[in-house]
Amino acid sequence: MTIKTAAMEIENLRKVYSTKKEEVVAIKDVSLRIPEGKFVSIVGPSGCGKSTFLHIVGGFIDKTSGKVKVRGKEVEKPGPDRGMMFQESALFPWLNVFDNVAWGLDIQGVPKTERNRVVEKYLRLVRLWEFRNQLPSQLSGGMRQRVSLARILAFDPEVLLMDEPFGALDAQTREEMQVELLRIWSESQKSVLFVTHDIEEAVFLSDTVVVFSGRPAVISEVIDIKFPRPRDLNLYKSSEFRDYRNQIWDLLHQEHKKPLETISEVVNG
Amino acid sequence: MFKRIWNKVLDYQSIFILLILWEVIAALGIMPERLFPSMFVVFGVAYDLALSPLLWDNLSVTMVRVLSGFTISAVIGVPIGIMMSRFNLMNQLMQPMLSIGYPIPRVALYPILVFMLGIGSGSKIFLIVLECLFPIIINTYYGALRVNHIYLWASQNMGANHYKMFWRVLLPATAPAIFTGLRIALPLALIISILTEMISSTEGMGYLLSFMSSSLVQVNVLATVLLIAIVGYLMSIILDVIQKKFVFWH
Amino acid sequence: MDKKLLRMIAGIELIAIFSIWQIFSSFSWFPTYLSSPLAIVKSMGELWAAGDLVNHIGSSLFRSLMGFLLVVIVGVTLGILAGYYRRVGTFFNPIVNTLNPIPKIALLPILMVWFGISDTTRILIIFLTAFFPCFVATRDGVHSVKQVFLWSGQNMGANAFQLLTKIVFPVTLPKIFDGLRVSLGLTFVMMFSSEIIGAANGFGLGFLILNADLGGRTDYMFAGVAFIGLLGFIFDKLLLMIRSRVLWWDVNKA
Repeated sequence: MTIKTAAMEIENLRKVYSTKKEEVVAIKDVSLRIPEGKFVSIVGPSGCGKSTFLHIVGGFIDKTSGKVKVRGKEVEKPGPDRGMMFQESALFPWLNVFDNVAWGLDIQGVPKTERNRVVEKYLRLVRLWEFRNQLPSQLSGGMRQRVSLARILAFDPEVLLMDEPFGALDAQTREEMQVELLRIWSESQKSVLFVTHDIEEAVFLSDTVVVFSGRPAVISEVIDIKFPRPRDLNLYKSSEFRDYRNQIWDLLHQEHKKPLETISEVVNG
Repeated sequence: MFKRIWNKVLDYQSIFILLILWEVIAALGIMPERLFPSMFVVFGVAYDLALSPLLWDNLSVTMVRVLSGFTISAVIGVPIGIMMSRFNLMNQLMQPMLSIGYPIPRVALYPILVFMLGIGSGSKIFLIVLECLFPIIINTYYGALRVNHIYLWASQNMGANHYKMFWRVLLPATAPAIFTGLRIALPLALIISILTEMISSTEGMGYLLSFMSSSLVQVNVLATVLLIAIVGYLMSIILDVIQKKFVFWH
Repeated sequence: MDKKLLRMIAGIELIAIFSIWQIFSSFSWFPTYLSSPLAIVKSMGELWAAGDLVNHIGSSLFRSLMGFLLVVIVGVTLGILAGYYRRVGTFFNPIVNTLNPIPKIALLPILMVWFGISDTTRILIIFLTAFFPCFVATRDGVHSVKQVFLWSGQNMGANAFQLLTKIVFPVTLPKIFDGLRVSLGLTFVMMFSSEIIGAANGFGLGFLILNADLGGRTDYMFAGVAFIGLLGFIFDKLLLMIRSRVLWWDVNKA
């Protein structure tokens, strides 16, 4: 038996934005190891650099230093080995649902019959096969994100990266989507790196929650969520769930004190 | 300091490349000099022209036409646009006019306007108004339509009457859109003025240009065009400054 | 708003205007040079029957459409390249920013000296005028492409060329059509202007109007103006039709 390599490995990742006047450290030497098949969430205050972190892993923006490896391969530019899902719908408005999902496969030159089979498989998986001829603008926000998920799964990436994919949805749809995501994820068994500002969402979905503290981003805590799977929405009502939630809430709110103090300084000064 | 100048040159490299290319063609004599003079000669002639009353007499005539046409269309167009957004009947009456009138090349009416209003400023100003009204009305209308209802409700809530609501809320909130319309209209006014003066006139920058070109001496034509270009450029800069002053918050 | 209602109002307004015009002319309350709608329609019929009209319209359309076609090809291509590749952008932007506020009609005499009073001059002045709105709209359209679209494309393995043709171009298309609509309007304006400035013998609606003007036939002038107006109107509607065909997915229709 060989030693399993981690799905994603991030070592001493650092991101510095330099302007003419100053250098701003957005991410300060973050290291993170995501085992194969695990669901890992990053929570943190808004503007803490968690999205930047994910965009670097996706290869969309350059890192200043450090290493990002996906299944042992170093990441340099965006590529179909990492499926990226964004908060706002990135579906192309001029293509219908079917063609949107087929897009990545066409780019990679998958033969037509094979392509059609794959598209159908994933559209059925997200339960939107009946909507294949609709335009994205004709779908609800939740449906659009399900199509986005199908589009990413269709080109069979090694890992999934999700940047607050349910952030723009209303509370009810969001909970439905969480259940849906867990169902689909349990079938694909891909490793997920999920960024959110919603503590409960992170606890409900994840095997591990990584708490970022802001400016510059550093990891303040890594918490393993020991709920069995499959999980359902009743989990929200349990006391252990609330314990996890409160623990993370406390961690985040230690952080929140800082900006408030600076604001009061500005007001008083 | 040197580096900053060099950077500016790099930013505008294409302009310099074109100028150098022009000079090379002129110097090599590929085209006869009468048709393709060196830019330095053109600058010289333009400078002489700028010092002569020939320019200022004609420029003042053109500017009077441009500014009066522009002002009239702004004074008419902005209230129409705002009223269209507030009163449904006004909108229903105006929309068809706009959608029929917009795609029609209205300059073609100029010869008829000359019949009606004579060859002087009247026909030209009328055509300028006809041309400038469209962008001003359309932009004002859509701008006023998009004014957030919450602003209006809030001002009503604070006891503003119709008069105050127009001056204190609706007009400032629409100002950026109005300026977009004015930005399109002002160059149009200059174009129409020069165009109509080129077609038929006895004074104005367009007349000066036709007069110069009838001599077939390219250097004079180019010098006049250069001066017109500078006028057009200055007008857009002035409007920029005014816009920054009035809608600084946008 | 309800399209049918608007069309009805438009019809009523037009009929009202023409009726008033006709009545005033019939009672000679208007000066005779204002002609009358019926007389103009009659003149339009005469012109049509005389046979030269087809040539006039044909020549005018040839110049306009050649100029417009050049704008479509050059303006859209350069606009996309200038928006997408920063280097191309920094090269073209100063030229465009410097030339844009200049009334391009002023370039007509320069072209006339070089190319004479010819179709080349006319097509070039149409192109030079109509190029700018198309270029600027296209370039700004490319700049407005959402980052997530490009990132998604890269994520799915698209190369730079595929991003350009399969994402940037379709996203920019609505803006391109907006620009082309302005360009098309300018095309007809410049067609008329270039035909009426620097008189020449030949065919063209501008010449028709000019000759009617010289001959004092205002009814023919009105007829010529009506034909130019009709052309402008028809081609605008044609462009909008193509737009709604191509951009059937676009929710915010113009």
